[in-house]
Amino acid sequence: MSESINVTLKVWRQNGPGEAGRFETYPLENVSTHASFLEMLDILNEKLINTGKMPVAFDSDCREGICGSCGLMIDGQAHGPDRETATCQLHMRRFSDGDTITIEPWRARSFPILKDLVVDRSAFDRIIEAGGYNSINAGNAPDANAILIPKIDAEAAMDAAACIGCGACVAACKNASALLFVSAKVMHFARLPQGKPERETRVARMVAKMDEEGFGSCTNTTECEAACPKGISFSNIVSLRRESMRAQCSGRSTR
Amino acid sequence: MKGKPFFSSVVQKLVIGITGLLLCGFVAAHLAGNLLLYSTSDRYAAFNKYATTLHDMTLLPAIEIGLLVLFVVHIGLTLRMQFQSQKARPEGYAVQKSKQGRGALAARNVMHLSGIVVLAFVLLHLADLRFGLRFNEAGLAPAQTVLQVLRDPISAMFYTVGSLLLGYHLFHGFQSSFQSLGFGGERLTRIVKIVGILFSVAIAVGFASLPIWVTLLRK
Repeated sequence: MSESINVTLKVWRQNGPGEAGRFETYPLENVSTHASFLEMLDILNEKLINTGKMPVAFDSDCREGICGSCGLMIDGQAHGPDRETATCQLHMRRFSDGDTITIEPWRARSFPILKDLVVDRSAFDRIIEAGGYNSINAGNAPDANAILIPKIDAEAAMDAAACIGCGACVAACKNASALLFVSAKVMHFARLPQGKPERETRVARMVAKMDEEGFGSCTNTTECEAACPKGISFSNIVSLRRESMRAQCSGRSTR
Repeated sequence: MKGKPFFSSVVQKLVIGITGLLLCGFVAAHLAGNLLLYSTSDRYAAFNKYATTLHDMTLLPAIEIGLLVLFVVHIGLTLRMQFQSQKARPEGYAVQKSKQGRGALAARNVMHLSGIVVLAFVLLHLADLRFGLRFNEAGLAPAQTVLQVLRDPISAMFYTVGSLLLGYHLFHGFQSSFQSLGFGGERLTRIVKIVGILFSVAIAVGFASLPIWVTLLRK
């Protein structure tokens, strides 16, 4: 493999929310294959700044795959071609010399574009505010084994808790549904004793908020699971359906 | 809460799933009846007896209304869902690629298209055989009427394509319904997937075999 490649970038540029955007093409030469995708964008931006142009706005923070800021649609795939990989963990060795790479922001009505590749994902925050928390007094950290949790539940809750809220599920879903995100948060709590007292109201409120925010409806295509950088299982969505029905049937969902 | 919709998107999908599964039951029963046509002995006596008994049932109008309701609810809610989803992404991607192998034409992505073709097929089928709009020769035995319809090239073609696409619709629809109902767990999911594939293939092959059989062998 050669140590550096030449690529052509087709990047979505948009000055502000609600404005018309367009693709701009930037040739980029001698990109190290060791560079991460975001470092490659940094190189592009340095070049743009040096020639007096506006750099491309994109979100990033930890650059180690745990913060969930860096969501980009790369060649039509959320976070690029690799499975269980956030954009920041994608490297240029994954591309070939002469490739044209199309970079777009997440596209959903509920994720309005702020600038270029940056979208406003506060709809997720509002869904969390609607019920993605515990408000009971869970006390101090309990003694080990004072609260018994079956291994299978602890593991499943932990897997669901791995969701970093990046929005790739919404971006990849043909319906722009947020159900994988919501189900991860709901099932993270519902499986643990501390989350159980509020489980009925939690699922009802979070689903209602999700609908209110204008996300689409899940049609079980499992595209979200394939796009998720944290490998959140689609089975959380199926569990959410049971959780939702359980809440409806208990009559406690509106308390 | 004020202005809250009567049912959530999760409940909406649940109802689409339940009506879909009930329609699967109808389709399976319908196919069982159709296959009697392969018993050609005694001038299709088996099929004729089945058809006459069915048509003479007192409860038939109630069943027909029930089926109509299932169709209307299944299609109506799906249209509503489709409309909501289109609104959820007003501006699409320039490039979009699945991370799951098999691309845009996978059954799960063309449910609305396969559904529309199946609906057109059902409407033609009703016009042909329920209301006799295109063929209404009096005094024919049920089997003769069916054969007459199946000999018609337009019907034969539409019935074959419609049946195959119905199978394709169920390829995703069957297992998806169970997921919408909350049937989870690795083992159960695997069983539902396998049963769904077998069911959709059986439905497609079973229904499509009749017009092909009539066209090729029963001229």
